[in-house]
Amino acid sequence: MKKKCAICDGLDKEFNLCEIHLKAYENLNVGYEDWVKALNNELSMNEYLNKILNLQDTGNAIREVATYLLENNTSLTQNE
Amino acid sequence: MSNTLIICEKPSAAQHIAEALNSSKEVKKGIKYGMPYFRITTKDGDAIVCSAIGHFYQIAPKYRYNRRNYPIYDLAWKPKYLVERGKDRQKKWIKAIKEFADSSDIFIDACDYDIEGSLIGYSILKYACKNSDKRARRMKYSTLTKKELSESYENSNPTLNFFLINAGICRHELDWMYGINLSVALTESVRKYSKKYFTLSTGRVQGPTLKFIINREKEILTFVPLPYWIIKVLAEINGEVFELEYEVDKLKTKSSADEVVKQSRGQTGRIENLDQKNFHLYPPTPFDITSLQIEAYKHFRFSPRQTLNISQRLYLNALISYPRTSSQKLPASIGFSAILNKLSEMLEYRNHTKKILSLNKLSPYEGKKSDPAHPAIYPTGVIPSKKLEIKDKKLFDLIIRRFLATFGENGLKQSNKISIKEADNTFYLRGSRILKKGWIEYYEPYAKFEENLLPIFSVGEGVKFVRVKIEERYTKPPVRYNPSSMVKLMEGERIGTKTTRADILDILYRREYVKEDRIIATPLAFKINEILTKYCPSITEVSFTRELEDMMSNIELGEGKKEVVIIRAIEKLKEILGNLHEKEIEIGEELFDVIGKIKLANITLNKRCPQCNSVLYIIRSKKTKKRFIGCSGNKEKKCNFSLPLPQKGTLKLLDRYCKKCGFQLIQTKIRGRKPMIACSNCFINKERKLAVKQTTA
Ligand SMILES: [Zn+2]
Ligand SMILES: [Zn+2]
Ligand SMILES: [Zn+2]
Repeated sequence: MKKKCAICDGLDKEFNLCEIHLKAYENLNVGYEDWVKALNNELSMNEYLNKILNLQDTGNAIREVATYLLENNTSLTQNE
Repeated sequence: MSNTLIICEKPSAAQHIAEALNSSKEVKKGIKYGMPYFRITTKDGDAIVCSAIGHFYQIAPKYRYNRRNYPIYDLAWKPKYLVERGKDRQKKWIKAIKEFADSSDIFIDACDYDIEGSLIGYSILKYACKNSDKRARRMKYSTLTKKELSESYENSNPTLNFFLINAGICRHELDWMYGINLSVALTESVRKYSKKYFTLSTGRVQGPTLKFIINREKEILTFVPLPYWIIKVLAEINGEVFELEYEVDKLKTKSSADEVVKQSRGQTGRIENLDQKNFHLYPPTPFDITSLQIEAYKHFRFSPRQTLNISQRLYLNALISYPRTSSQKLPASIGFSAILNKLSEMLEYRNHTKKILSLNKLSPYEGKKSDPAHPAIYPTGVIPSKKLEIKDKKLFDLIIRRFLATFGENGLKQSNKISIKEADNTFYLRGSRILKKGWIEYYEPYAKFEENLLPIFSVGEGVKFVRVKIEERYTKPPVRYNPSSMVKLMEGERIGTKTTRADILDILYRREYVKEDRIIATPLAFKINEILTKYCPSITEVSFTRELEDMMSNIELGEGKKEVVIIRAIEKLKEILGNLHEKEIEIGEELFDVIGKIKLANITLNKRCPQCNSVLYIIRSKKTKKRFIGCSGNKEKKCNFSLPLPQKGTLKLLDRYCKKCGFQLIQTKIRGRKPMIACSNCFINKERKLAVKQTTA
C-alpha cells in the first residue's frame, strides 16, 4: 500500500525513493554537473561522491543517497 | 454616594491602581476567600479594587461530550473551575467578586487594554457581576504610573470596547474548534488503528508554522555544497601589509582562479583611485513586542517567551509601559522630557539624557507599525525601588537605551574603497569609519560599528604583492530558524498574534515536533506535516489561516462580524475533518508506524555491545520489573552483556559520550530536581555515585 524507499527501508533490488531521498538524488545529479564544470571535468562520479561525503555541510539525505550509491555501485545515470 | 467595583487583571496591577486612585489616608488591604482586595475612597465614594488571575472563564463544549464523538461545534463560555481540574482558587475568587458585585452599583473594567485583557474583564462583568458588561466603564492606560492611572480613571470610557471583546471571543472559539477537533482527529486515528493512545496535535497556526520549519529542514537535508574559489592577496603599502580582495568575490571555476594567481603572483599593482561614500545611519525605531523579542534574543539569548515574561514583570512594577503592543510609535503626550529628566536620576544614563534634553527638538524616530490600544514600549521614568534581578536589569537597560537612541541624531559613516590595478585584474582594499556617532552613542553596547582604517597613500603609487594564493570554499546551506527568527517570520506572514506566537513555539517543543535552539524538525513532525499536506493541505498553508487572521483584525477595528467569521471557519473545518475521517485508518497506520520508530529510537543506544557487537537497548525485565541496558544478541548469540540504570526518573539517551570510556551518556530527570547525567559503563566498573544508589545490575 505504502510506497517503499530503497534507502529508508533498506531495499537493494528496486530503486524506488521516498520524497526526500528523491529530492536528494536529484540535487546530487545537478550538483555533479556543477562540480564537473567547476573543476574542468577532472572529477569522476566516485570522486565526487567521496568528496561530498567529506564536507561538513552536506545534507544528511544527500549523505545517505551518496553512501547507498557507493555501496551498491549504482551509477547516477541509471534510471529509477 | 455610590459603591464602585474596579476589576483588574492581576493583583499587582490592582495594588498600583488602588494606590493611584485613593483619596483617603490609606489604602485598606483585605482578603476575601483568599482573594486580595483594596478598599479605597475616590471622589465618587467608596470603591473596591479587586483582580483576576488570568482567565476565570473559558470556551468549552456547550453540552456534555465524549472526546471520541468529535467534531464539536457547539461552544459556550464556562467557569474554568468547571472545565479544568485544580482551579479551586478561581472558584473562590469568583465567589468573592460576586459578593462585592452585589453591593456595588458602578463597575469599572481596568484590565489590560488588549484582546485578552478585554475578554477577562468582560467575562467577569458578565458572568460574575450581574450582567454588568453593558453598563460598565472602561479604564484605558499603558503604564501603571500614578499620573496615568488617575487620568485614565477621570477619563474612563463609558462602555467596554466590544470590538476587542468580539475579536477575542472569535479567536478563542476558532482556536478551540480547530485545535481540539483536529488534534482529536489525529489522536483518534492512531487509537482506532492501534488501540493505543498517543497525544498528537495541530492547529490553525501550528500547521503552517510547522510547515515553514519542515521546508527549511528539507532544504538542509538535501543540500549539496558547491565549490568556489577566492583570491587572497597580501600587499605592502607604506611598509605595512594589507589583505586585498579580488574584483570577483567568488570564482566559480578553479581554472579561472588559477589564471588570476598566475597573472598576479610577484607583480606590483598601481593605486588607481579612491572611492568614498557617506551613509546616514538612521536611529532604530521604538520597540514593539516583536522587535524587543528579537533584540533580546540577539544580545542575551532570551527566548521570545522569556522576554514576554520579563517585560510583563517590568510593566507590573510600573518601570515600563505595556509591552504587548505592536506599535513603534511614541506620542508626545507621554511626556518625553519628564521621562528623560527622571531617567537622569540613574547615573549610568545621566550623560545621555543631558545631551538629549539639550537638543532643540525632541522627536523620536518612529517606525511604521501602530497599535490602536498602546504606544511603543518605553521606560516610564520610575526608578526601581529595589535591586532588579540580573535578567530583568538587562532587559530594562535595553529598553531604556533603545528609548534614548530613538531621540538621537543620525549617525554618519564613511566607506572607502581603494582600487588597485594590475594588468587586467583589479583588487580592492576597503575601509570604513564613523564620522558622526549620533544615536549610536546612546545605544551602545547594543549598537556596534567596527572601524577599519585605511593606510595613507597616493594615487599612482605602486603596491607590491607579497603573496597571492587561492582558497577553495564551499557554499553553505540555509540557516535553521531560531525562536527569534521564527516569531519574526510568523509576524511577517501575519499568522498568530503578538501574544500567541511564543505559545505556539512552546507547543511545538512540548510535542517534540521540534528540538534545540537552532530549530530542528523531528521525524514525527515530518510525518504530521506529510499527512496533513496529503489529506488536508489547507491546514498547513498559510493562506487560509491568514484569511481568518485578517477577518479577525477587521472585527477588532469594528469592520467585521464575529458570526460571519465563525460560519466561514466551521465550513472549512467540516471539509478538512471530512477528509481526515475518510482516511482515518490509513492515517492511523502511517502515524503509528513513525511513532513506533521514534519509540524504538528513544531506547536504542548508539554504541554497540562490546562483547558481541549487537545493538543495545534500554529494556525492562518482565520478572523483576527493573530497567537496564541489555544486548539484542542475547538469544542468537547467547550474549549476557548488561549494564545498570537508575530506576527512578525519566531516562534520555544523550548525544554525548563518557570522557573516560567513550560509552553513551544517559540523563535521568526526576521532577523538580536537576537532571543527572551518568555513564552506566563506568558505574559498573567502579564509581558508585550517590545518585544512582538504587540501581541493580
Ligand atoms: Zn527514503
Ligand atoms: Zn552482546
Ligand atoms: Zn564511562
